[in-house]
Amino acid sequence: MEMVHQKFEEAYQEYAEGILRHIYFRISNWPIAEDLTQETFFKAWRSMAEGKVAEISNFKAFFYKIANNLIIDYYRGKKKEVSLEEMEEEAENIAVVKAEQEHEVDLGIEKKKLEQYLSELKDEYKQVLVMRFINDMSIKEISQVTNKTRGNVRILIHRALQVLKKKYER
Amino acid sequence: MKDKDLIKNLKKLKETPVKREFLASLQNDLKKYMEFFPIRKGIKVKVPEAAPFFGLPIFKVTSFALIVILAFGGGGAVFASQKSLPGDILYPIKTLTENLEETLTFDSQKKAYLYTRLAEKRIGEIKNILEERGIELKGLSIAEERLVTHIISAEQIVEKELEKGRNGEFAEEITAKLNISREEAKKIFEKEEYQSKVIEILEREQERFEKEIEAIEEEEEVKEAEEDDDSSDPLDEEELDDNNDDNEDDNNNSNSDSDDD
Repeated sequence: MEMVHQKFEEAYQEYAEGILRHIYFRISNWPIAEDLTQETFFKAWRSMAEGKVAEISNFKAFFYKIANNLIIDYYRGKKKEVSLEEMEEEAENIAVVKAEQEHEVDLGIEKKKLEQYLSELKDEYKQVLVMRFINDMSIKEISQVTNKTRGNVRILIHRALQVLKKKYER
Repeated sequence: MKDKDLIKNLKKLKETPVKREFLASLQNDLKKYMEFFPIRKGIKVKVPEAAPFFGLPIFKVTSFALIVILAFGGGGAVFASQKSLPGDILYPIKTLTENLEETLTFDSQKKAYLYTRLAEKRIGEIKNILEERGIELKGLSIAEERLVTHIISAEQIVEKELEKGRNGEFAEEITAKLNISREEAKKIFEKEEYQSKVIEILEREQERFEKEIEAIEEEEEVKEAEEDDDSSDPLDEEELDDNNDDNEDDNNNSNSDSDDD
């Protein structure tokens, strides 16, 4: 069992940063991205510990699948009615995040613009673009995580790029 | 904007910084979480080993390397390399052929026997170095490192085989062979005479190194002093001029500092 612990920790070290960045670009909020990253790894371990999964052959796909489901849940939850208090809290969060972003010297104006356009895309497009170009995932890996055929993934990426391009031309 | 440029820009977002402290603290929390929820059922974790050479599996790499050696150096090089000692030019060819043999041995028990043979070979090399060249630290450390790797690799196989319930003669034989190699290595490396000679060599090396550093430092000091001498006059003049200007400014205008700003 020690081997499983070790492999899991190694996988964490290898993929945690990518997962955090992936979630951030999908939801555009660092504090929530951090929460969901934590949940991703806790959930991954829990499902292994409880025997919900019998075999892991690809940690990367396993983690991204869980993260993806959490993002979908997050969006579903957001659609539900929110109380005034929560709305205020959310607004505060966004203000903090925006202030953080403005202070980030590493992000140039072009990068900020692209980040903004990316955040405006529908999640299906965001998902494939972030996976393909920011997380360096192959079409095969994306199709494993999203349960879509490789052809569909390619089409989605192409469409997403066209929509993003239009935003630049606006 | 072209697709190519857009993709290039998207790829730049990979550099978006993340909070390292968060990832480190999550790693700690995760460790505690894993202890709190231990694995109840057995789980198989199949993680493909990282490909060591431009994404090619080791089998292809070593085969390719051997083909290159045979094509350009001929079989003679491989043959000649077998007599080479650690630190020799041909020694990497010897290790390459050994790595190939290791890769091509699929049966784990046979692999363990191979490691014991390689360990014996390393002991032989160490003895040869000592006889032919005396205490040559570079070669000895290469051989020692490989020897330790062979012993550990063989021990790991024995452990795994025991876990699978495959004990019997195999485990005993390998362990006995490894013990012999280990004892022989001990006899060589833990001998007082050997250790005191190594210390002597290391101290001599240290002395030589310190002298070299001293010489470099002296050289640099001389250079700096020469540079100072060469440039002292004009600099002094400039400095003097500046001082005079400042004095004049101070005399003429009491707010000279703010003017400078």
